[in-house]
Amino acid sequence: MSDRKILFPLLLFAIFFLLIAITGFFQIAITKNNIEGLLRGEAEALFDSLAREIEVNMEYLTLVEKTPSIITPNFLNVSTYDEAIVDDLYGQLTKPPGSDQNDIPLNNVLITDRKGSELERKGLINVDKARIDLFLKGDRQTVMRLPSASDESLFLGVKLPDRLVFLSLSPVELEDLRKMYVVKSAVENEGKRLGITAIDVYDASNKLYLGSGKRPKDVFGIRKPLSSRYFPDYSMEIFVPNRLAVDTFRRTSENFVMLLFFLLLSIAGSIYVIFRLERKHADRLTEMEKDMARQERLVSLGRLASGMAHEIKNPLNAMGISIQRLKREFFPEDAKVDEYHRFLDIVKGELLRVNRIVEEFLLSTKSGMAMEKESLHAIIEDVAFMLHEKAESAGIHIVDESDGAIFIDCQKERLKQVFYNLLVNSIEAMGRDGSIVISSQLDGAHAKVLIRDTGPGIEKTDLPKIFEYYYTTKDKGMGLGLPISYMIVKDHGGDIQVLSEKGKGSTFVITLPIRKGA
Amino acid sequence: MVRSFLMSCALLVSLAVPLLAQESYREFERDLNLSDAQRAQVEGIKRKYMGEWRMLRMESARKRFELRQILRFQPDQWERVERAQRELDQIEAEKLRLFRQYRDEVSAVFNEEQRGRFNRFLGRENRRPVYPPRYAPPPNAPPSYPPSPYPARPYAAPPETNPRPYRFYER
Repeated sequence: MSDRKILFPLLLFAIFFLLIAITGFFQIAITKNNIEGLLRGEAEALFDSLAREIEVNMEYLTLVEKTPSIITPNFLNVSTYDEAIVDDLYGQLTKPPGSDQNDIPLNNVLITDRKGSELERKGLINVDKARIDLFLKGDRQTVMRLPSASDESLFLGVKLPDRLVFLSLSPVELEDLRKMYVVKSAVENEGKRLGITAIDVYDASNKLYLGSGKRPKDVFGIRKPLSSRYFPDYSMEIFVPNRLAVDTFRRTSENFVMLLFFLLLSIAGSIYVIFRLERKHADRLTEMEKDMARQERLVSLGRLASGMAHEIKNPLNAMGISIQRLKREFFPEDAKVDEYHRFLDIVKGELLRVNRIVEEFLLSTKSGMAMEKESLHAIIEDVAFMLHEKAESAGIHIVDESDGAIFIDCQKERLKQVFYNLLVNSIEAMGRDGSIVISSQLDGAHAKVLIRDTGPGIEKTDLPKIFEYYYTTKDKGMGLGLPISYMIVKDHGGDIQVLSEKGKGSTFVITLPIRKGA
Repeated sequence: MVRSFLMSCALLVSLAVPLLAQESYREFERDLNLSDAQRAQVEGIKRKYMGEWRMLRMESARKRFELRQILRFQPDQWERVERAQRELDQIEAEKLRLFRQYRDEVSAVFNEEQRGRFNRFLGRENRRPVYPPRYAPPPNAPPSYPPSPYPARPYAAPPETNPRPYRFYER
């Protein structure tokens, strides 16, 4: 196949592939955008819900200090924040020194030994002697004063095995802590309830207020201003899991790559198949063209031969009659009688030979003869019988193994001539000694006759020419038998093939349709 | 086309109404529209209970603080632990009792419409309670005993199944 022929489908496939690739990439981009859009929408909804929760809790916290008209359970819940703060402070006070992670910042702390002597002081904390005495003289382990209307600060004291620790939180510190606990409570509870992976809150100076400040893996995050009345200029960043989105995106990409791969594979396969079919078709076309050219040549030569045969037959008849009259009515001198008759016999014999050749030509061109259903075996048997003597005299055995059950529509006499020519060709090619085996078989709607000889075989270079007129490798051959046979078989809708190798004999395969027109 | 548009609008309205219905406390109190007399009455009731609640809260915090100290340094004194836990439970029960009493007294001041509004607001609070912070257990707390003394549970009310539906504290 020429490069130009393959170029067009290749170009088509390339465009097709390119279009699919572009569409796929757009599809992936759209999917990614959609997923991001969905995640953003989800994150924003969660953000708003969380921000609202913080705002509502802050409202309760603010109102509880202003004593609302009606007390609801949430006011009572909010009031327990102080207990939570105390609880966390206790944990912080009893921690071993140095383990101060996530501690509440303390500005007023006094540490004494077990006898009340000061060890360390931070800030302006003032601890009454009476409170220290509670630990020293009594069995008290803790001292606590919660904020009240008269004193809004918080005071704690705790007796540890090696020291006494006191701390106080000013009203402002306590208020800030309460606010932080409101945010912390909302963040922890709502974050868990809403399935948020992590939440960070930043203060007005963009410092981390709550959270770890670290971005977890496989999350989608948004950061927005908190827009809170209670936390002006604060911002919050929330991270929602995007594993599903990542999985969806990865699956889409993988599917697309697989699609492209199989598309590429199918394109390559299609091009290969087209290439092979085209090549096969081209070979077949070339063969057909050659076949047609040969047939046309044979037909034109046949017509020429037919015309010539008709023209030759009349003078031959006249010559034959003349020789008969010469032989019957004219007598030469006695001394030359024998010679006279010998010459006349030679002339007569040659005339008969020319006549036979002409007859063969005429028979070969009679394609319009009627087709009759005949036994293939009977035709082959007749021909084999005719040539039996000729073959035997050369030490060649003709073995007829043809199937007696095969009947075909044919022109019997013309077909006889085909087998006659082929057998004569084999006998003459073999010279002396050998065998010719004739067999037949059915092959679908066709009958096949195989004539296999043990002769010298045909040269590879001669094979394409053996069915051409006047081509012969024999000294006395005329190069007519095989082309005439070929033409007759073609007239029957069949074919002749030759399988031959020099030195290993030849096999002629004659394929004939069983039914006319099949 | 028109039908689809109307259906979309109906859907939007049906979604929007519950969202808008989530009123804040301020809106609730404003919409309650208390008369001056009612306001004076509920303020009086509130003042009566606020002192007790504050006292209970302080007592609860103090007990909890003590309990943590015992658990931290004397975890083998189970009797003290149990006693402190029992006292904490009593405080919680008292808080609950007081709130129910308060709710009944306040409800009696309201008219029918105000009472319905009050109950609906309590119901909404119950569905979305303001949680207190989650407490971390003490470092050496026993794994199973005593039960956690920390107020990890919010004041939650069960669904409205009887005339006095709102429990102050559920353990």
